[in-house]
Amino acid sequence: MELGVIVSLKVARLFCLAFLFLCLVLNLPLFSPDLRPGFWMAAAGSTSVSGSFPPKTRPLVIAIVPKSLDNPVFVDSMETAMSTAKELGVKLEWVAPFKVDPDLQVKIIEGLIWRKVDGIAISTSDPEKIRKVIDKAVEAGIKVATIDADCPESQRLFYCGTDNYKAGWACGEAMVKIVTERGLADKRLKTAILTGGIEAHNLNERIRGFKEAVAGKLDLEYVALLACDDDTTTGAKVVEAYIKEHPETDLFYFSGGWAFFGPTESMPLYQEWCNNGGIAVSMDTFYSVLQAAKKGFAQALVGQDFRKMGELTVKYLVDAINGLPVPMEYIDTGLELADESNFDLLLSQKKPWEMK
Amino acid sequence: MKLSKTVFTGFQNRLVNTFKLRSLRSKFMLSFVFLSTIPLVILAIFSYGVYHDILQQNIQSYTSEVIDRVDRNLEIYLSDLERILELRNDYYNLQFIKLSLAGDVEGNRKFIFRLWENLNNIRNFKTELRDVSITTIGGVTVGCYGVTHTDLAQNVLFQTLANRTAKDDSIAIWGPHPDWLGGPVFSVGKAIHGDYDNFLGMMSIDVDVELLERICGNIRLGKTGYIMLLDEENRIIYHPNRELIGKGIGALLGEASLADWQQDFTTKRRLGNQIVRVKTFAPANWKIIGLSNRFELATEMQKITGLSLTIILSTILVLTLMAVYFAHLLTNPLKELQQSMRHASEDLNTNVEIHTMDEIGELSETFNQMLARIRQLMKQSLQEQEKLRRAEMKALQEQIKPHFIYNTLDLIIGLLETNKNEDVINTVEALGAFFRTSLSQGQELITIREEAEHVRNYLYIQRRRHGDKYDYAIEIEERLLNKKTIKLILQPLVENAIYHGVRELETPGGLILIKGFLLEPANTICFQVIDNGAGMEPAKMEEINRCLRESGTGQRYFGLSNVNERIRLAFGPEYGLALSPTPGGGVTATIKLPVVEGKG
Repeated sequence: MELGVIVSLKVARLFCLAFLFLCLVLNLPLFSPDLRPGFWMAAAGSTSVSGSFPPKTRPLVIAIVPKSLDNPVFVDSMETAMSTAKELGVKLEWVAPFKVDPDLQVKIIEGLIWRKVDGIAISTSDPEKIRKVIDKAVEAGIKVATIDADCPESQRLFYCGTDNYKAGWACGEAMVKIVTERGLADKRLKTAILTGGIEAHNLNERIRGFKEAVAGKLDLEYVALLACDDDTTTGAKVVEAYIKEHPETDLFYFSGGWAFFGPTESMPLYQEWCNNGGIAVSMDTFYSVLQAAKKGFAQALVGQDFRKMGELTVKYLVDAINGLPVPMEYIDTGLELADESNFDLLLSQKKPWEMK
Repeated sequence: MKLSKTVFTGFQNRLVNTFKLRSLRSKFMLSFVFLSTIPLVILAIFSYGVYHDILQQNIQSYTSEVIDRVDRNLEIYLSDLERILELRNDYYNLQFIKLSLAGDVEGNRKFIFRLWENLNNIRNFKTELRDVSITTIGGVTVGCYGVTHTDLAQNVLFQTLANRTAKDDSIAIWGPHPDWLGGPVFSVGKAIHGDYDNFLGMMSIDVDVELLERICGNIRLGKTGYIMLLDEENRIIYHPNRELIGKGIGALLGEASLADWQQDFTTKRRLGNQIVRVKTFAPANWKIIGLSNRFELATEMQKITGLSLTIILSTILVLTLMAVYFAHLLTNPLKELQQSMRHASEDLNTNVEIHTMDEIGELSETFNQMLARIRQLMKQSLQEQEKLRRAEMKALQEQIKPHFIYNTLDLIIGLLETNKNEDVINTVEALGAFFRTSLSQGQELITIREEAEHVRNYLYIQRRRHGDKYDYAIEIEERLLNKKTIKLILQPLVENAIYHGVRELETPGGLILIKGFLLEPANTICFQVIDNGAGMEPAKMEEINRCLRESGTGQRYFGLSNVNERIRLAFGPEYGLALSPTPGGGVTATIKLPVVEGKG
């Protein structure tokens, strides 16, 4: 009996001490605000990402980082991603530099790492620069995927988007078909290419696919590789300027449809070039690109499924965060082929962006 | 009054003794230096005090001015941001908020895209803007970097605005905090209200704290003074030393200083006195603090002191040199004058050669005039004395004549009465010769030969009168006969020898011996009239000699005094007449004369 009392007294004392210690630990920051880490430490180190963020009593947060905000191709993806996130009960953040800026994209990803979001999906604008920060995020315990533009050799979990090599190959095949139909297959043809960023892996893959598809079938002389940094206005301007200087160009390959996202009235020389027999094949089958193609700005289009990209990226990322397996590392969202035969049909199925 | 006079005199004496102020030059130099230096020192002391006060006031007013400028810059910047925030009620913003709150993702497509463009354009207006965003009460934020989710409970700015009434439309400021990229920013925001004044969210601008560095960083208060900023919790939000950012002000200035933040104050610190001035930046309730180091003031004052001392010492040096120069300029003529006067005291025929145009020049001129006057007066005096001497000589000679004439005439009368015609003739001849010599055509000096002849004639006449009671002899060295002497000096002595000497003898046998010889070593002619007569009482002789030494003592011993006076008048006081007893009885009268060469 006596022993039982002593034991219960000791247990009570231990409990009290543990309680007091807990109270002390919890209240310590309140008594000494100056000793709190957080911003002040971060401020002293300028843009350091060390420090703490509020504890995770919140729902899962995933962030998708496209190449830029001003590129409307991602709008479809954003919409489906947000809807999917809402369905899954996670919070989705859509963050990126306004214009393509690999360095700023790195900073944004670092900010997400500092905030300890649960998952990040990145459309890589420059694999060399992004690779390190992807690895850093992965090391910080964040699930990282790539969307639209992959970052090979990084520690990303999976890539969700178009098989860009295949897309380029499809463009090449379409070009071979049109050139052959016009009886120019045995002629040496001057070919210009428009791309977004010179370093963009997905675009380079498309160009590679294109070139390999036409190799041996057409005799193309690649006379120019123009870049517009995914900017629609720049795209149209660069093409117009090039055609003005080199109207003798025979073919144009657009690895993205930037030049046709805006009003085509700004490209009269290009239009004249097309009317004089210029042949163009372009990626993307957005409403505005289809409209341009119907006007004769391109003879064939190869589209991507951005809606599917947004949807699948969020779904598999959340699965990965929740510990579920991702079916494959390379999630192909498929291609959409368009030419004069189905321009009207596709136009009837799609809607304009109506962003301005 | 007396005491002060005594003290002053004592001080003056002490000053004179200490600095050996015996010359006019040193007095002048010391006075000049003193009079020049004292005002300078007084001026320096007063200037130091005044400059110190002015410098301190300037530091304080400059600090206040700088603080005001920082305050104004912050206000201007804030007013710019406030103007930007007026875009919060833009149609696109409101539509985005409404559709976002309604969960219409597809409907928000074009608004989101438009907002990204607008917000990025706004951000590009100013380099310090990190983000411009719209946050809904649903926690969705659309900003320059896309769409994010905000933990509203953690967002101080949002909470501040949410807790305000719709009427309070002012801006709210959230002090430095990390933005969603982790960088330090401070945020400025305004509430967005719906159609029914319902709070829908806020528009906010994140400003990089680098702005504070830009506004305050380049400001220096003196060499080490600076500006710092505190947030409303008295934490440092800007300090030139970045390591101090985020720390409490107490760590820097001491907890005691926090008690009096509302007023400017001064506090002492380890590294010297610091002048601390504080102003509250009202919109954010931040404090702008200017710290300037009073130690620098002291350093500045040390410089001033050093400069003042250098100037004073240099001035004293220059003044001393000037004093030396001026003293030299002023006293040199005086010295020359002094030397000239000293010279003039020995030789009146000198003149002072100072030709300055000042008082000393005038003094020299006057002195020269005075010397000229003295010379004139002396010349005049000499001439008058000469005249007087001649007059006296004449008068003395005149005195002799009646005396002798009476006696000789008495003799001739006696001879005539006794019919001694031969004797009368001889006597008259002797008398004639006697008078010729006496007159000497008015000459003062005659030859000794003539003088001897004269006394011989006289003795002849007297011997005729007195019979053979005595005899006489004249023994004068031949070489002296042509020398000159004043006339009629032996006759009175012979007369005395007769009347007071040999005539008094009871028996015949008296002898009068007249000797003339040259005293070689002294080059002096000596005449002696020696008698062996009745002699003289030593006391009387002494009295006569005293009378002779003290010439001009009266009419006593007329004959002897006459001779003595004349000799002295003619040749000076070292010559003259003295009596002495003749050994064996009688009196010897000795005359000393200078050797005066006769003409031819």
